[in-house]
Amino acid sequence: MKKLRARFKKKDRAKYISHLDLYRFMQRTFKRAGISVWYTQGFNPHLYIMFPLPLSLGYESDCEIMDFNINDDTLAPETVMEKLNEAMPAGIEITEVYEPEMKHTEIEFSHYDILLTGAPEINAENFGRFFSQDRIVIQKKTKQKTMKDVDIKPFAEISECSDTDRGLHILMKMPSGSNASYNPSLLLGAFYKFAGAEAEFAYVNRTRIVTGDGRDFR
Amino acid sequence: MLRDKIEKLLLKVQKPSRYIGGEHGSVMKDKDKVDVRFAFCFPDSYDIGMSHLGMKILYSLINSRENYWCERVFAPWLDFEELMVENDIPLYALESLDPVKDFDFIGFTMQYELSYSNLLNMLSLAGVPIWQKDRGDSLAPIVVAGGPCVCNPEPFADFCDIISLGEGEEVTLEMMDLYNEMKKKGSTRHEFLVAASKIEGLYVPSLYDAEYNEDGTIKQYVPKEGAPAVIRKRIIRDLDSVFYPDDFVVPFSDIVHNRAAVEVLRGCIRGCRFCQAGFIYRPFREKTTERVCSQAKCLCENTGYEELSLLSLSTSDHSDIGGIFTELLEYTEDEHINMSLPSLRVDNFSDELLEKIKRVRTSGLTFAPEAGTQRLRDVINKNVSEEEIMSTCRIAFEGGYTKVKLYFMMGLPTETDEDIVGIAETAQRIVDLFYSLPDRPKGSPSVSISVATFVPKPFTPFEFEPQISYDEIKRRQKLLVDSITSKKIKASWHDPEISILEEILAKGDRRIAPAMYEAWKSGCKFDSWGETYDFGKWMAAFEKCGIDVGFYVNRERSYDEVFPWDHLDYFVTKEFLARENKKAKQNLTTPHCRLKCSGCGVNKKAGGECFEKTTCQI
Repeated sequence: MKKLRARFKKKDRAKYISHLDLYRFMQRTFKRAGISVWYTQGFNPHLYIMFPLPLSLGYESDCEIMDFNINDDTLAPETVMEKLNEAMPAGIEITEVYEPEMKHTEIEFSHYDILLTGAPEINAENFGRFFSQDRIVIQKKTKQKTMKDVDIKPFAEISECSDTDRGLHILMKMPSGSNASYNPSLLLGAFYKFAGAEAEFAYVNRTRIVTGDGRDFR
Repeated sequence: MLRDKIEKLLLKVQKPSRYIGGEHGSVMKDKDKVDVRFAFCFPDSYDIGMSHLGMKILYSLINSRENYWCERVFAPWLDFEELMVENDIPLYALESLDPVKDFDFIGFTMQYELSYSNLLNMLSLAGVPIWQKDRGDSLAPIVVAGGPCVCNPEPFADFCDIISLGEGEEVTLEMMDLYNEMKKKGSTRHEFLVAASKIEGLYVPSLYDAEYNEDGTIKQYVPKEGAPAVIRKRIIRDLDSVFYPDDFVVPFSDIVHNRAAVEVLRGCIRGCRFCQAGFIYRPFREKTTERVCSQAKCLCENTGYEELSLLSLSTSDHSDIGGIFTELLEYTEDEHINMSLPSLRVDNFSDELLEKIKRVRTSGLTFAPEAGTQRLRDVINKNVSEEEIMSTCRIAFEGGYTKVKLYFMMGLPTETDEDIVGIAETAQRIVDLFYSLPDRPKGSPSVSISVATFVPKPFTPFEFEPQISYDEIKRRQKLLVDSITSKKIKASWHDPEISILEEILAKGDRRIAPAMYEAWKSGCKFDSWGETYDFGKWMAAFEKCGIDVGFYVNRERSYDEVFPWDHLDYFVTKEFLARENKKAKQNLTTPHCRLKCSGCGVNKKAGGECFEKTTCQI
């Protein structure tokens, strides 16, 4: 048995595969690819696949992570990648398969590339004013399923915010680790309220998953 | 572009992956390089439609032709439909995301009566005229319907250009070939329909005038422009060599039946008198063990599914079911694939078979005795005895099962109160049996009885029979509840109103169509779903159109009455059905086809012997 980690893109029509459905989707892809993967050995054996970081429905990503174990130690990671990609429908593409170097707990942040379209109020100037507020309070669901007020301002890092001919372009870094995790939609929702208008469509693409010191998670 | 408009709405609705395609196995082609485009519509939601085998077969079959492109279309669920209408998104196909109205064919599969209103709703969403007569002279789009319910297509015939009778594997391509030829010649819709009516299996309703007697019954259907007086259904002669998909579209989201499925046989030898499928799919034909197993393995490998199902009307009637199980259970265990086995009959459920099935983990067993007494089981020709039910339950209990589910019907011809009480007594004897067994599993037994109201269907020996009245259904349901004394028995039943609607739609004629249109106009769609089902609206529509529901639902028909489906030939003769009806009333059973040919007429129509060993020569 060999532990492997895959990085994959989730784009196009595949962005509508929910996190819950992704497990079964990958299980079937492994079967189609003819890769023998490790099953748990309990009373109810099931395929071991692990996604450390969920991606919101409708978000795209360049860098999703999936862990699994293969039974044949001699199989090269590159071969696994090729076989999987041959069996994958359009929209999902494995970009690298390797032996894991880090623990999931090292994941701290995600970078997002965001395009908000279709509303004149959704522009760089308004976003600038919005983000220069001292506090940006949003409602977040707690683990006990109650709602609590959180100031999201200290957590969000905006590295770019500019108007383009397609809409407002934002580059954002948000915590997505085990200690703190914030979805960009929380900030965007607060911005829509502030601007008094909603983007017709929000294209959100996760571009990087990084550790506390800014290295790519591997 | 339609796609952008669609994507802007997807995150606002439940299960968006249902509306955007892109699944493994979906077929993409260049629309400029195909000659004929076929939009295969299932008049229900994606979750139901994607579970349907017939659609998978025809989808792959049409797409196996390079110059034809078949795409899938489902009824959008209520939330998305509302947004589509608001945002001017017409009904579109899942592969190209192109509007359905631009296709050459719009095909519907009619699987059950309560989906008829969705046919109208989908045509409306597509922007296609709902009535066939309003579609003008341009060739496309041709609206065609197939599936089991088209054995009486009259209630929806005026909405369709063509009805395809019987099995579609051959006739669909013949129809498309003819269309392709005539499209190149610049033919009109009418010219094409007249030509199509000459193809065996294709019924063009607009080429027939219905005439009625003064008492409201059918006088005759008069064919025009050389259309045949009687339209024969199509069958596949050799099931073993007929086209079968080697891959399925694998949905992203979970659906009702999400698995690889192999059809093991077609038709049924049993002749249960209430069962429409048992008659309209005759003759009985099976695939060889070798073929079933190779198709199963091929599908599992190509789809990656973790579940495999063997499909037919009665899988355990396959002459080598033991051989199929042995080979497939070995394969599926090695591959971590679960095998599910629907449609097993109670009477040929041996210890050995159960031992094999038990290796496939399930929580309970389901049987369908259908009636509560032996007399009534003889009437309906469900040749299952009380001892067989009990011995099967004993095997099941001793094998560790504690849950048993039993299906019954209520309102069967000749049914008395004794038969209703018999349902409760049968369930009670199963409970008693459990406690009498020294080797019973731990815990207490659970016997669920599910009771449906009988809906007499065309092309069955009970097509002459009335459905019992609403009040009588209610009375018998109460009698059943009062007869159940054990808490181990749980009873459930269908809403009798639904059965009334099913009956009028199953046995109606063309005069039903305006009422169906009215019902749809007043909001009826997804009638099989609690969210939208509204019996009151349907009844109001019937009343508005002057339809006497009792005439269709509660009237006994004589053997010589002309039925709305009599001009359609499903190979079983009306004489045979009448003969079976008479036998039913004398509590006489008919042996199954393997024991003795009962002369249903199928062998003559199919052109020779109909039985398995000689299937290949018919």
